Amino acid sequence: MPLLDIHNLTASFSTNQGPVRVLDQVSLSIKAGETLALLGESGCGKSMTALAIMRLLPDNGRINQGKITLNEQSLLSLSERQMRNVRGKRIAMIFQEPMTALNPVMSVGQQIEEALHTHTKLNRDNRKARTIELLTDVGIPAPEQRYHEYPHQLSGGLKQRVVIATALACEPDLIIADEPTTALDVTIQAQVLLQLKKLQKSNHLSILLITHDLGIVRQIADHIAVMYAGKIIETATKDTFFKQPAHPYSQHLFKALPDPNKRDHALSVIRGQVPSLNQTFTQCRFIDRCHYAQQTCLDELPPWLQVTAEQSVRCHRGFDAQQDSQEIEQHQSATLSNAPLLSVNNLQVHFPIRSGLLKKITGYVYAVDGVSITLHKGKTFALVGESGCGKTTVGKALLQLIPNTGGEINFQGTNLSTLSARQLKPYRAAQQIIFQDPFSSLNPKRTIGQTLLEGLQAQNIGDSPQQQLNIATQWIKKVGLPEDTLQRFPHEFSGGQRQRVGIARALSVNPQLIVCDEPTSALDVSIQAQILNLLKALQIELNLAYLFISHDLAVVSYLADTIAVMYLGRIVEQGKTEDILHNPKHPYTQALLNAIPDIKTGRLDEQQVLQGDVPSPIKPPNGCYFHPRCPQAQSTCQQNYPMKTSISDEHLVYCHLAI
Amino acid sequence: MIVYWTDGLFFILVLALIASIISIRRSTHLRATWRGVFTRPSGMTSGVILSFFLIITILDCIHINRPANSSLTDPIVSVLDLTLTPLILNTETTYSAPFAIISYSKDSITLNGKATRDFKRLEHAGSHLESSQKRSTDIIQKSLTGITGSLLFITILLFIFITQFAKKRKFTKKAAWHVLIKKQTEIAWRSGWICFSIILLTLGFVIAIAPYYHILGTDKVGEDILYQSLKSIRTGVLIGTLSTLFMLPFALLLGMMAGYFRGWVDDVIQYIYTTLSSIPGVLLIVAAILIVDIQFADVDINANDKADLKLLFLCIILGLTSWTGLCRLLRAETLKLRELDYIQAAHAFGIHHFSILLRHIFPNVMHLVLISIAIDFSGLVLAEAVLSYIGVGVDPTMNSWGNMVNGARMEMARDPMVWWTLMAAFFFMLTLVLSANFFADAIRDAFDPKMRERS
Amino acid sequence: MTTYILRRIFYAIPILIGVNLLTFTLFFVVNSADDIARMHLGNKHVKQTDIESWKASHGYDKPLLFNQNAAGINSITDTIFYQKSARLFVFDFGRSDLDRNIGQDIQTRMWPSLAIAAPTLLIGLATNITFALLLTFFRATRLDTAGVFLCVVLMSISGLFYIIGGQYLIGKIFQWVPISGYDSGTDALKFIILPVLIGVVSGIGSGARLYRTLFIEELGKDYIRMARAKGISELRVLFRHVLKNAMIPILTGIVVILPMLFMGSLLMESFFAIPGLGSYTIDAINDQDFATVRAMVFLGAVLYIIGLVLTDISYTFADPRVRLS
Repeated sequence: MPLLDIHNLTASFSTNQGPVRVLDQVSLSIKAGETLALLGESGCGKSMTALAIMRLLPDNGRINQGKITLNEQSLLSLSERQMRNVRGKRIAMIFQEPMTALNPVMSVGQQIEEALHTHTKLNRDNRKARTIELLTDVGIPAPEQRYHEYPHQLSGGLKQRVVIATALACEPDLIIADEPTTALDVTIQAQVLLQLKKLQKSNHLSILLITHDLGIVRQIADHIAVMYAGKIIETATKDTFFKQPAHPYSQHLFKALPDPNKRDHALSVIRGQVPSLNQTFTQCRFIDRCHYAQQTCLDELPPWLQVTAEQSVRCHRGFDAQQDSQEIEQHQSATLSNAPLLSVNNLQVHFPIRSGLLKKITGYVYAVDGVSITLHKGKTFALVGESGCGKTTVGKALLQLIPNTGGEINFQGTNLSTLSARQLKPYRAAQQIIFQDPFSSLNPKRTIGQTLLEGLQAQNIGDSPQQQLNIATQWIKKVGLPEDTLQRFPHEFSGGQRQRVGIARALSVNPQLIVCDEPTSALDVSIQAQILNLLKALQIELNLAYLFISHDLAVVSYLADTIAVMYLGRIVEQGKTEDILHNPKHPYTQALLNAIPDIKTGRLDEQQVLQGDVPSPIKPPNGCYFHPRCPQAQSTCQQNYPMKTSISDEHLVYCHLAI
Repeated sequence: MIVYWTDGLFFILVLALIASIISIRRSTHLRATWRGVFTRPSGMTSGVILSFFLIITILDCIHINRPANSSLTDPIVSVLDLTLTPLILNTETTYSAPFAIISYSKDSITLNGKATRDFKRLEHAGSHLESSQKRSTDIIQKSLTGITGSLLFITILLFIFITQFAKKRKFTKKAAWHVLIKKQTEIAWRSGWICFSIILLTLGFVIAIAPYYHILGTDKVGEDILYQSLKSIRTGVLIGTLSTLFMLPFALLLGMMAGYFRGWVDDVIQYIYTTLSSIPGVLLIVAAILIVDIQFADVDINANDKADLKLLFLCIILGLTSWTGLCRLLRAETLKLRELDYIQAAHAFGIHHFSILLRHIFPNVMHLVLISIAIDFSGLVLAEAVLSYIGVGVDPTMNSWGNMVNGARMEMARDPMVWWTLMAAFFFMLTLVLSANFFADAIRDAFDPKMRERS
Repeated sequence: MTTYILRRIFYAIPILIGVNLLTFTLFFVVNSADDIARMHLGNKHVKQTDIESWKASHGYDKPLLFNQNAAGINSITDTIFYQKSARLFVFDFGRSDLDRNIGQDIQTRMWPSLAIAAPTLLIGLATNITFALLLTFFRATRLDTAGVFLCVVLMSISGLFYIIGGQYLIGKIFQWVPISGYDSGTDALKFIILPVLIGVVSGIGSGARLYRTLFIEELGKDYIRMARAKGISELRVLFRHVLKNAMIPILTGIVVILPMLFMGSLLMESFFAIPGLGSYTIDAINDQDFATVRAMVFLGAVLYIIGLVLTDISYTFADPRVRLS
């Protein structure tokens, strides 16, 4: 008998555009002690499933039909008061965004005790004792002290642990974890996942894990349900799913993942977008994006087919889906000229901290503290690191969007930081940038055409307005957008399309170098693959140099020729992509690689999981900046910053242990 | 044609309004947002009422030399005055209640050679009646005529509208009618029509009755209250709009510059607005107006020009003392905007600061400016009443609701009470301010960045 | 904390200098002392000697900024700026143009102002929060829609009509309390009730609507969803989570006007003939008593700055994220 059973659950939202059916006859079940992963892209209805189970849908949402049974008790027939006894006590929830999930004006202890106060008869002292016990359980150091602290005093990882502790407080049977690690840095993600797995074992919990990340699924799920546009399209045990995913969509998810082994191929692409849900479907909802679509897919809704005892799929084809045998062309790297396009020498960007009446400078944020980079035409140089390590600052300083405090930026032999705004202008065209957030990178009040033409006019490219328009049209087509895009406004486009516009804008002034600042991290996997392919194709065609900034080693390994790993404003290791991936020397690089959930094995080396958080760049630690978190730290590490060690010609590392 | 200062500035505003309507109609993006304002019944209704007030203001702003055939006495009259000539001429000697045909207080009259004290028949109200008993029937008769006329007019307009509507949507007329009645249009046409009809019906009623009776009574010197209330519309609307005109350049320029350039520019601008806003608003206004009054004391110009200049200065002062709020808001928004990627992209193209402010920052703070203008309007109209009461508002000779309240307040103690002046001012002000508030709400809902973010 | 307050006071000095210069410019540069004198002596046909003697008796006969005839420090101090404007910094308000001691007047008159304004603020705050919480609890129902509509109507009515209507209804028709006047001690109570009541009612519209917006905004936050997921009741959500967080913006609006309560309300006090600072200011305006208006402007600015400091201090109690240093 399953612990939680959802049967034909349908829920909808009333909006200005009419009702939107976010969940359409969703059926799921979870056994006691088991982890079910609900996998899908953003907007597919995963979170709504979770909120529907808790009966916490937003004010404009309602459950239209279906059954939710917890331990043979129907949740939908409970009164609101009875339901409150379920929430927190029998089903608890972990939210995605720990930064906002905690009440900023209540102390950590109060927030956890609130659950205990509601559901148990413990007295004040016992509640406090239990809370401290919970804080200890989720691995929070110094719990007595943390008990009195407020959320803003905790780091993201610790906050998420507090959220987990709150969820565990009343010993629930089921925990719904809604993207519990998406908002966290990759090394912190590994800590939290490990903790969650331990707690599941010790408390005999069931977990409904909501995620878009196949790696996380591989690590902790037992069963998998794939959701697409409000409907479950495949369920399977983990092993079956990873061996042979049945639904074309699931297969695509695997193929779209960037991976160093796919370096010389284009990534498989799921074309198009998730359909909007304010319609009644009479055909398969994946049809527009499916490579195998046939007549029946168009005529009928796909049936729910049981492939094996362990796998079911909602597809007309059942399970004979053959591997997509699309021939992928290989390419030779563009010939390289010896003179570097860009060489950065000991770049420093320090932001002064001012305080007091006269705004005296009382300290500096050492955002970038001595970074050297050499970049050749047609090559990709990747900067990798966690948030706050200074990688974006490096990118902006190269373009002189932020003035650098020290060092040289030599672009084709000219030191950019010595130029005035007027002198700099011709160099602006040669260096462009693509941004992370496709929503803030386009002015919502200007048409795409105006946005593109602005650059052409500023750089005097094209002789007449007509010619400029032709140039803009040509670039829009090149990035795979229809011609009428130019007359339209950004809000008419999806994230992936906007990112294409951003690329067209950068390309329009014929740059030689493009800084790509996490260009895919705000996108879903399927769209990410489209953009990465586009970037790769453009690089080959136009012989572009990329400075690719990312926190995601998997994405980087697909594109980069050289990888530099940054920590607290400094490069700690740099080398060819193969060297970094297969022969990492710095403990931090090793930890980063280990923290990437491995899709093939799902293993996570507990020894390698980093403890603690990234220190503040205002007061970096003495000695090696990494030593407080380093599992192999020695006494010299605490005293001196390590010197450069060359492993090979192009493989450098800054670590005492590598000598 | 004579153009007073305030007339001229108001016409500039009206022209700007027309220009922006044309540009809005051209841009799909803005048109969609503005449609949002009128999809709400409250937005549509208040919009219709505000346009009515706007039309009256425009009529009252067109001043001409008195035509030779006019029976008015002022040498300079507005088009509204000409329209309302009967109301101006029907001046009694003192108070009279709405629809009354006898005066409010007893007078000594000579009847059959004997002097007694009794209520005198009014000179201009119901003078066509033989006896006072026929008053009710006469009023009903006249109002029915007026309402029938309006109904006829509404029917014709509605017919034209339905025909056009059907043609545009390629409906039959019947279907178009059905859609309208069932409220199935995206724009709240039905609410608009209901409101428009009510206004027209009231107008028909007023046009039929007003030449024969004082619908809202008369004041101490026997002037018609309806006339005063209608004339006060111009004062209220001008104060609500012109003050904004004087406030905007400061708020926009300084706010955007402080947020964009930061550093010492920001420090100076912040210092200026902190200093200004630390002085209690009313006191600053009062002080400034007192000064202007003194400067005016010796100036030898005619009363109309003086009243107009005083109104202008009131608007300027209200504008100069109220830009700090919007400025602060725009500074904060610009601080956020300047960090956005599309501004960075513009920098990466090497685009000049001025162009960035104009093309990238300004259009993206425009909604804040609009919302704040809409919200400020009602506050300014209310402020006029209070200031006029304190004695630092518009010129006492100028018609304004504040002056009406001020005059009527003294008569509170009378028995029976003279309530109609207060009620008239109350009703007109409430209508204007309430529609302005609802319209501001509709604008805010349609333009609210939070609602539209990432949509 | 102490260093913080000291620093804020230090920050306030340039602002107060600015205020002072501004009023000085308005009153003495735009207007000459002759203008003021003529104003008080009656506009037309005033002899220059009368003006000179009025100026001499009221201290307006000195040069504006720099006295060439005086020696040493006196060349600075024996000027209108020093005598009339700079001395405001030590709260020496001097004598009014009608020859009253302004400082003393302010001291006696601020208490009636406070007696009206303080209860109005407190009762009004409680009423508005209650009403807004009620609307929030019934959000998206007809009750809520009707309540918000009522709020907009209430805030569209001019303050003048609240006062006139209140006086007419309570004072004249029901004759529960006197229409206007004031008395000292506990007898003041019957004069206070009506203005306070009117003050509260006239503030409900904008106040309750604003607070409702704040509450609804808080309700959309993630931590509210998390609180509900803990299984706590809706009332507890409203009081423990929503109200506590919304207190921060509410405080911003309230604390800054706290010191201004001393200044009283111009309208209310003049209608109810309450001898507070509000009616004092109105009288000064009507008598064109510039010295008093100038003093009130300066006092207002000082109190406003005190309000800003109090707001910051109140944050430290409401919001654990704020530390003053």
